[in-house]
Amino acid sequence: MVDIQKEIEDYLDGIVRDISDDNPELIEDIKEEFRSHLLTLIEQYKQEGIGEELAFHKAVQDFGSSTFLSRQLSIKLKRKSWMAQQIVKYAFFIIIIALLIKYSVRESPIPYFNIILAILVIFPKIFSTIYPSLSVVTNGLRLKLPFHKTAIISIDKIKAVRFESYHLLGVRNLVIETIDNKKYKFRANIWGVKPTIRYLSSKNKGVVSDEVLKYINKIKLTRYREHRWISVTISISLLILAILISQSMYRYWFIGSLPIILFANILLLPIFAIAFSSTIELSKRWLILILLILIGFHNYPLALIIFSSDNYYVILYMGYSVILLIISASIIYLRKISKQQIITLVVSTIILLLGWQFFWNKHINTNQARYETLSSDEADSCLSCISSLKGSSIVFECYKNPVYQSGEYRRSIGIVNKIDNKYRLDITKIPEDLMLTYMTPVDGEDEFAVFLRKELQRTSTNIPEEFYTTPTEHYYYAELNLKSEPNRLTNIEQFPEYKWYFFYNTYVSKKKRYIITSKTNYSQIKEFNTVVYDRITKSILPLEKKIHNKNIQSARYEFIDENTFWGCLRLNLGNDESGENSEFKYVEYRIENNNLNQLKVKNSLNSKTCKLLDYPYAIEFDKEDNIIIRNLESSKDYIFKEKLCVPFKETDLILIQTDHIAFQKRNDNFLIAYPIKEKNDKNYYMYFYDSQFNKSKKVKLPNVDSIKLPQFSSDGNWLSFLMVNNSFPSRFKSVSIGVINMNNNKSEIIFRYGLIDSIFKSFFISSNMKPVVWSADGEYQAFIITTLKNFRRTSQSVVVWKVPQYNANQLKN
Amino acid sequence: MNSELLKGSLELMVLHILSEESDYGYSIVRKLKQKSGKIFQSGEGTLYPHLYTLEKKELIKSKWVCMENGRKRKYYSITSKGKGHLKKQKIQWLKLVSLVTSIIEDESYVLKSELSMS
Repeated sequence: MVDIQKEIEDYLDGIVRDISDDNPELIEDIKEEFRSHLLTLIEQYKQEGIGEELAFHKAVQDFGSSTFLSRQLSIKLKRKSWMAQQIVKYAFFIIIIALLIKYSVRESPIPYFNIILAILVIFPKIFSTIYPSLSVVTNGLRLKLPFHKTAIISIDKIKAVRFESYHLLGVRNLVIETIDNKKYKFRANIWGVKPTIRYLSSKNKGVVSDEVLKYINKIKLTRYREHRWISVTISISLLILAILISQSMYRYWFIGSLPIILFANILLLPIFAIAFSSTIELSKRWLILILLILIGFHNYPLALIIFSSDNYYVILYMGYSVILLIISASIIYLRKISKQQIITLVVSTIILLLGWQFFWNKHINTNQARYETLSSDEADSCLSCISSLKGSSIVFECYKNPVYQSGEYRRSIGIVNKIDNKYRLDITKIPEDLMLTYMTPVDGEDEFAVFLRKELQRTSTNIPEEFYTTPTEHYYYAELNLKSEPNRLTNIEQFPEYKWYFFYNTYVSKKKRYIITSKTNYSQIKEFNTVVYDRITKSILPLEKKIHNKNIQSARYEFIDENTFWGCLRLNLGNDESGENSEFKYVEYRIENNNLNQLKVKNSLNSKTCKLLDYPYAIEFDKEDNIIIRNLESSKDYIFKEKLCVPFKETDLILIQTDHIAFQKRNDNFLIAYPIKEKNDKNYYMYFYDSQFNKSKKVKLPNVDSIKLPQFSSDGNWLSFLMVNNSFPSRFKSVSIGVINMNNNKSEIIFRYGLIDSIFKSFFISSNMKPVVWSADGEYQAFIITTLKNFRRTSQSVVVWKVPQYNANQLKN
Repeated sequence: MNSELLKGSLELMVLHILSEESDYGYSIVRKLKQKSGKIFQSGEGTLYPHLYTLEKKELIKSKWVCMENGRKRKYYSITSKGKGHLKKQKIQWLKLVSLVTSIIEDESYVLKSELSMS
C-alpha cells in the first residue's frame, strides 16, 4: 500500500525545494496551504469512487507540475540561484578539481634554451624577415610592436630566452628572464621557432652551422603543459559526468543536453591542445589531420547522444572516447615521434576503432533489424489506416496535399510490397467518395486484392507480379464507409472481373429511434450496370431511448464463420458525450445468409474507455482502473489488477489507453500484454496473461521514457512495442522497436530510429510514430513516422523493418 | 477562450470574487473553473503565486482558520486598497473591451463590404 501522506510531502518538498530557506515559516505556510488544497482534491475524487492512489495522482495532475509551480512561486519568493545550488551540491567535486588544478597547473620547472639567443645573434637577418617585430640590436634584443611593451635589455644580463608557443587556446609568450630572476613577460605571436629555423637551414644550406642545428635538436620542450590541460579538462568532465549521473539527467534531455554537450566537448580539448601545439613540428602537421578525423569520429556518437538521448548510444560514445583518450595520451608521450611510431599509432587507432565497431556489432548491435524508409511524392501529407492485407503486403490510406496548406487533400491507397527482398511503396488514387476505414481477413472472395490490383494496373506501369500471381490463401473483407451517397460508386464498373462486394454501414435512422444496419451487395458485375447498389438487409434494433449517431461509441464487425457476420456496437446512452455520467450498452447482431437472426443487448460497465476486440471480447476498465477483458458471449470477465502504465509528465499517472494493451485471440482463449511499471522501480515490465493456462508472467523491458503500442505478430511468435526517448529540443524523439520472443521470453531491441538516422536523409523526426502493423505472414512490420521536411513542412513516411533472419532460425531450432 | 487572455485577467477576477466574500484557494479555483475550465490548464496551484502577489501589493490579506476536521485553511479577503484597485481595474477593463469591440466590429464591417464588392 502506498503511503499517500508521504507522497504528498514528497510532492510539496519538490515545489519548495528550490525556494530560499531564509524564512522557514513562510515555506511551511505555503506547504500547509497546498497540502490543504491537495487533500480536498483527493477527498473529492475519493467521493467519486476513485481509489486513494489514483485520486492522489489525479489531484497532483490537477494541482500542476512541481517544477512549474516552483518557478511560479519565484514571483513571491526569491529563488536560490541555480549556480549557487550547484556549487553547494557539488562542493566536494569542486574541491577535488581545485586541488587538481592547484597541483597540476603550477609553474613547472622549464629548461632554458640558451641557444635561442645565440641563434638570434647569429642570424639577425633571418629573424628580421620571419618576425618583423623582433630585431637584434647591438648587445641587446629589441622588441617592437605588436608587443605590449618594448624593451631593450643588455645582452650581458640575459641568461636565457625562452620562446613558448602555447596551444590554440592559450597565450603565446616570449619570456625573457634575467640573472636576478626578474621576469619580463611579453605577449607575442611567436611560435614555431624551432621548426622554422630547421626549415630555413634546409633552404639555405651552410648558413646554419651543424653545431647550431645540433643545439636546436637538443632543445627540450616541456610536457607539463599538456598534463595541465588534461588534468583540468578531465576533472571538469568528471564533474559534469557526476552531475549527470547523480541527477539522471541523461533521461531528460531538455535539462540534460547542455551538460552532455559540455562534457563531450571538454573531452575534445586535449586533442585540440595537441593538434595546435607547437610541440608537433611543421613537417608532421599532417598529424593534425588525423586528429581532426578522430574528432570527427568523436562527434558522430556525440551527435547520436545529443539527439537521441539513448543509453545505447552513450555506450557507443564512451567506447570512442576511451579510444581517443588512449590515442591522445600516446601522442603526448611519444613527443619526438618517428615515422614508425606514427604508422603504429595510425594502425593501432584504426584497429581499435574497427575493433570497437566489431565488438559493438557482435555483442550489442547484432539484433538491429534491417529497415527501409519509404516515401512517395504521391503521398506526403498523411498516412493512416494501416492494415495487413495478405502475405507480405501492408496497406495504408494516404493523403496528398497538392497545394501546400491549401486544405485540399487527394486520397490514395498505398501498398507496401516485398519485391526481390526489397520493399516498395505503391500509391494509387482512390475514388473521392470512398473512405477506407477498416479491413480484416475473412473467408470469401479476394475482392479487395482484385480491386487494388486493378487500380494499380490502371495507374502504375511497374506492378509487382507477385502481388497478382500468389494463390489466394487468405481472403479479405473490407469495410468501406461512404462519405456520400453510395450510388456515386459507378466507377467500380471499370473492373470487369470484379465479382461482388459488401458494404456494411451502421447509422441511425432519420427518426432517431433505430439503428439500421444495411448490407449493400454489389453482385455479378454483368448486372452491375443496372444494379448499382441494393440494400438487401435492413436490421432494425429497437432501443428504449432515442439515440443519435454520436451515441455509437465504437463498433466492430467480423465474419465469425463462413456465413455468419457478427457486428457489435457500444452505445453511450447518456447525453453526456464525455461519458462521465453515462450508461453504456453493447448491441450485438448476427447476419446469417443475408438475414438478421440474432440480436442481443448487453450491459456494459460504465467506463468511458472501451475497445471491442476480436469476437467476442472487449476491453473495459472498472472504477479502480483495473483492466477487464469481457467475453460478450458469456458472463465471464477477466480482471487484471496489474496497472497499465503510460507515464505522464512527472508523475506515474495511469492513463487509460486501450492502444497500450496487446490482445490476441487464440481459438477459444486469448493472450494479452501491456506495459506496467512498479512503484520504486524505474524499469518497465511487459505483463502477459494467457487465458488458456491461466498463467501470467512479467518480462523486463529496456529503460526508456515510454513504452507504447504493444502488438502481437500474427504468427504469435513475437510481441513488438515502441519505445520513445524524449530528446532536446523536446519535439525530437528517438524511437526504437523492441520485441519479445514469445518462445524464450527474452526482450531485445531490434530496431532503432533516431534523429541521426534521418539526418542522412535530410529530414528530422518531429513527433510520434503512428500505428505499427505486422504483415500477415509475420515477416516484417511497418509503421508511419512523422518527419519535418526541409525544416518547414511535416511529412510522413512508411518505415518497414524485417525480423532478423537469425531469430527466425533460432525459433525453428 | 484563449487561456492566455484568461490568465492575464486572473488577478481582476480573483479580486472580484474576494470582494463578494472571503474565500480560500480551493474554493476560488472552483468558482473560476465553473466559468471556464481552461483557466487552470497549467494546474490549480498556479492560482497561489497570484494570490501571493496580490497580498504583497496589500490588495488582499489572509488569515488561517482552523476547520472542524482539524485541518487549516487560509482565507483571503480584500483590503480597502484592494477595493479601490478593483474599481479602477474594472473601469480600465470595460474601456479596453469597448475599444477592442469597436475596432473589431469596424474591421468586420470593412471586410464584409470588400467581400460584397468582389
